[in-house]
Amino acid sequence: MGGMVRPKLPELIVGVLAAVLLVGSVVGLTRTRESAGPATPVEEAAPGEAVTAIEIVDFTFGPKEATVAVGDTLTWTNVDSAVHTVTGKENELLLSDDLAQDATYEVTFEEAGTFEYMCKFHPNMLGTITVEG
Amino acid sequence: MARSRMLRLVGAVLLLIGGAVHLKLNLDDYGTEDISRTFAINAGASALVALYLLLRNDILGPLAGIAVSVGTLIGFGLSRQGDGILDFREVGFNPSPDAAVTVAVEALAIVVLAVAALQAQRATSSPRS
Repeated sequence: MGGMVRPKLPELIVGVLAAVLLVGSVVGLTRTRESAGPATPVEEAAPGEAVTAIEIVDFTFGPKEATVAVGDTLTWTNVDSAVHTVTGKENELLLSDDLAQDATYEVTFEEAGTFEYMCKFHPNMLGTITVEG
Repeated sequence: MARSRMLRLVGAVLLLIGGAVHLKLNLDDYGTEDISRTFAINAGASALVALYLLLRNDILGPLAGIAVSVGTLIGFGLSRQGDGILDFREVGFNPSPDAAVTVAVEALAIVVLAVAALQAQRATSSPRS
């Protein structure tokens, strides 16, 4: 029948590691994320508002929908620690490399149209750029 | 008894590795806020079960460890299909190498703890000499 075990050295070492992990999990559960708060909000652009930059924060493109004029340049910046991409869904205009944290991707739009895009690693991350002539 | 002790010790170490990987992802702010919170919960559950495995020689510890590992693998699977889980979807073994390490140690933990559970069951049912 089972019962209490008198710990030996290996159990003591693993037990200390378990205790450290337990404390770490409490810290992880209660802390505030670095990307949270007003410093890096993911905002939606107001209608008619000029957008020149899109941030990737918490697995979201912000703003998700942006309108620019032909000739405008948009810059995506990946704030997340995860690697993301800007990948056109049915267009080859938007095709970034893998963007590590703080990496940027820039595109100048030369033609009018609607360009939907996603992150190839996280297909539920979606965005749309409308380019007005 | 020595074999049972070794199985529980190895099971505890495997759970701790899986929990540590999840805590690292949480501290790296990986994923959405909700999924990141579940990473911390996973780490805490893994640590608690590991401690139990070290302190108690019964069938409950191995079964709890199996539950944690199976739950982790189910979460891994759900996050890689359809709309994902908690607004979070991943592809394949990303992030690397964390995802592959987690799957490997959790799968191994299930095997080790299943053997430990069987052994505890036998010890419970067989009469003492």
